[in-house]
Amino acid sequence: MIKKKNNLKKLTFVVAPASDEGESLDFKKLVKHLEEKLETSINLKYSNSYKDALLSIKNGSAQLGWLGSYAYMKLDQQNTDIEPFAVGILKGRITSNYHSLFIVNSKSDIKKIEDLRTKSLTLSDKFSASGYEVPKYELENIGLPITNKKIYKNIYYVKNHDEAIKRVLQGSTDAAAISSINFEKWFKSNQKENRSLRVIYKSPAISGPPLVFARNLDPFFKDKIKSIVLDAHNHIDLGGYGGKMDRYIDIETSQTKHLESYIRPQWGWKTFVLISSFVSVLSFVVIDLEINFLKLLSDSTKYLGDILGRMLPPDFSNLKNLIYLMLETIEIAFLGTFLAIILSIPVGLLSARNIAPNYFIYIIARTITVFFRSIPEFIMAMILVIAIGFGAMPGVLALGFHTMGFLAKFYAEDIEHINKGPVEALKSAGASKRQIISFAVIPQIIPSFIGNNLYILDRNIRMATMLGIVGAGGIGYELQSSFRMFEYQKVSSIIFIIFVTIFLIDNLSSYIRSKVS
Amino acid sequence: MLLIKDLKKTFQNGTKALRGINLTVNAGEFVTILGPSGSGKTTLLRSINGLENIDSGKIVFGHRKIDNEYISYVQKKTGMIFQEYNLVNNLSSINNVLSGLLNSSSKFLSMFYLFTHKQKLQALQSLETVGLLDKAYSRVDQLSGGQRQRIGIARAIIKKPILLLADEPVASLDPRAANLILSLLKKICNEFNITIICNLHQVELAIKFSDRIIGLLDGSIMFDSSTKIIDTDYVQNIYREDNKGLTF
Repeated sequence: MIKKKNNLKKLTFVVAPASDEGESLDFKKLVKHLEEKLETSINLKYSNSYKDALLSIKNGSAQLGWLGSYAYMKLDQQNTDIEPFAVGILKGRITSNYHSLFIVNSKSDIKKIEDLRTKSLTLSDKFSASGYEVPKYELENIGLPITNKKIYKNIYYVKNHDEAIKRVLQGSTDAAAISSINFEKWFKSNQKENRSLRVIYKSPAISGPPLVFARNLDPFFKDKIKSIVLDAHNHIDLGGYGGKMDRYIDIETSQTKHLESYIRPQWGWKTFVLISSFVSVLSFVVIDLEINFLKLLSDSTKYLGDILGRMLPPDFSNLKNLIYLMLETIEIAFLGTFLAIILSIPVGLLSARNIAPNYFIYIIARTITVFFRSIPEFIMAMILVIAIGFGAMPGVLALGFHTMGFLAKFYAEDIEHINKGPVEALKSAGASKRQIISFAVIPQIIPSFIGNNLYILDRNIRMATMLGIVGAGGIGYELQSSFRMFEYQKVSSIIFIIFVTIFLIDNLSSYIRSKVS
Repeated sequence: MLLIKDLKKTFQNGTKALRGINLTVNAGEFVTILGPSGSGKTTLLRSINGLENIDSGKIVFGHRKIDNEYISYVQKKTGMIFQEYNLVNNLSSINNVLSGLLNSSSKFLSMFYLFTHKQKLQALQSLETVGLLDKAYSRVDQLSGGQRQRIGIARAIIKKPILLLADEPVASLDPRAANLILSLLKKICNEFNITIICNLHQVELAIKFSDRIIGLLDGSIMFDSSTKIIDTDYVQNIYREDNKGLTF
C-alpha cells in the first residue's frame, strides 16, 4: 500500500460561483459522503469568483472542487496542475451537455443577437464558459466583439448567472448571456413569471463542467476519490450544478457520450420511405402487367434460339444495294437534323423563360415544343406519306419536326441555367437584349449546343433506319420486306450494316465532341 | 522523418518544376514552404505523397525510400489539405470527414455510406477538434470558406496521420479566416505532434505560424531558416513583386 502522506487529514472542496448557493449548486451531500468514505474531514468552500476557486487549487489551499467548464482549461493550458475526473449527469438527461443562452426581457424589441449593437449586455466572470467564453466567441463570429467598447452601450460583469437573470428581469440590462442549466432551473421554479424572459440565441452544446482535483495528489488517493464519486449514486441522493444529479461519470465516458449525442443514422427515415414506396410501385406494376419471369425465361429462350439459328449466317448477296440504302438513310437523318436545328433555334430561344419577350410568347413556344415531341416520328411519317407520297421527303420532315421539339427544349434549359454574371456585366455596360444574347448567352451554350446536335444526329440515323417501314425512305423498307418474306439471313445482314454504321457514327461524334469542348 | 535528396521534376511541356531539392524535415516541425506561384512548391508537396511522379532523386519517409510498394503506406500516414478544399459539396460535413477513413473501412458497407459506431465517433472527434461539431450534419455547401477548410482539416486528421501536407490552405480565405486556419494547424501540430509542411505565399503568415521557412524560387531552394532567426527584410525582398532579377 502506498503510504498516505501529510495534509490529507483535512481537505478543502472549492466551488466556483455559477449559481447562488443552495439546491442548484449543491455539493453538500457529495462532500459528506466523501468525508465518510475517506474518513477525512472536508471543508466545503463556496468561492466568490471562478478565478479564486481555481487559484486555491493551484496554490494548494484546496485539493478538489468544481470550477465550471472552462476555468481550468483557460488558466491551466497544459493541464499540469488541475485534473478533471468526473462529470455529473442531471436527472432525466443523457449527457452532461448544456448551452449558453442569450436572454432578454419579453417586452424588449431585441429579436436576435445581431440586435445587441448599442444595447447593454450582462456577462459573468471571465472564467465562466456559458457566461463569458462562449458568448464572447459567438459575438465575435457575428462581428460584434465585446472588446470593442463602441459597439455596446455597456457591458456588465456579474458574479453568477442567477444575478444576471435578476438584472434582466429588473430591466437594468437589455440582455444577458447565461447558462441553460440556470435558465431551466429558474424556468421551473418561477412558473408565474417565466413568460417574462425570452431566449434569443442558443449556443452549440458545451460539454458539462467536471469535478477536478489537484494533479499532484497521491495517485492512490486520487483513484479512491474518483471511485467513491463514480459510485456515489448507489448510496446517496446527489446534487451538483443545476440540481439533482443522476450520477457522476468518468470524464472519458462523458466525452464519448457528448460525441454520441451527435450521432444520427446515416440514412434517415425519408430514404426508407422512398425506397419502400418505390419497391411497392414496382411490384404493383409487375403484378398488374401479369409478368411471369419464370415463364419468360423458359419459353423465350426456346424461341429465341430458334430464330437466331435461322438468321445465321447473314446473307450479304446484295451488299451494294444495302450500302446504297444505308447512305440514303444517313442523308435523310442528316437533312432531318439540319431542319431540326434551324427550326429549334428560334423556338428554343423563345421558350427560355429568361429570354422570351413575354409570357404569352413563352407559353406558345413551349406548347410548340411539347406538341412536336408528343407525336412519335413514326406517326408523323405515316401521315406525311399519305399527304405527299412515298420517298425521302416525309422521313426528313418527320425527323426534323419531331427532334426540333427535343432540341428546343434542350437549348431552353441550357439558356435558363447559364451563368448570370456575364449577363449582368453586359447589362451594366448598357448592352441591348439582342447584344446580350449574342455576347453572353450564345457563347456559353455553344459546347452543349454542339453536343446536343451530335446526339440528335446519332439518334436520327437510328430512327431513319426504321422510317422505311412506313414508306418514308431508307433501309427500313428493305428490312421490313425481308421480314415479310421470312428471309431472316437478309434481316441479319441489314442489322449488321446498321450496327456498323451506328458504331462509326458514335465514334465520329465523340471525336468531334472531344475536339470542340 | 522526411528526407529529400536531389529531387528533380520536369513537366512534359518542358517546365522545370524542381531543379534538385535537398531537404530534411524533423518530426513535429511546422515547416512552411514559401514561394510565389510557379515556384514549384505544389509539385514538391505532391511528390511527397505520390500524386506526382518524380524524375530523379529520392524521398525517404521514416526510414525507407518511397517507392511504388511503400507509397500506399505513406499515403495512409499522410493527410492532405487543399486550396480549394476538394470537399464533396452536396454531402454532409460528417460524410466528408468519414471519407478520410475509406482506406481502412469495409469496401462494401462504405459504398452505402455505412460506417461503424467507432468510426463515427472518430469523425465527430475530428469535427470537435476543428470546432465544427454542431455542423456535423450540415451540407458542406452551406458553410463558409473558412469552415469548409476546417472540414478539410478534419478529413485529413481523422486517420491520425504523422504528416500533414497543406497546399496553399488559406489562399482563398480572408485574413481573419486565414489566421484561424493556420492557428488551428499550429495547434494540431503541437497537440497531436503531427509534422506539417505547408505551402504559403504570404511572408507574414509564414513567419507568424511556422517553426521554419523554406524559400522556393524557380524550382530551387533559396533559403532554409528557423523563423526565430530569419531576416524578415531579406525574405520580403526576395518576394517583392517588382524584383525583376528574380522573375522568370
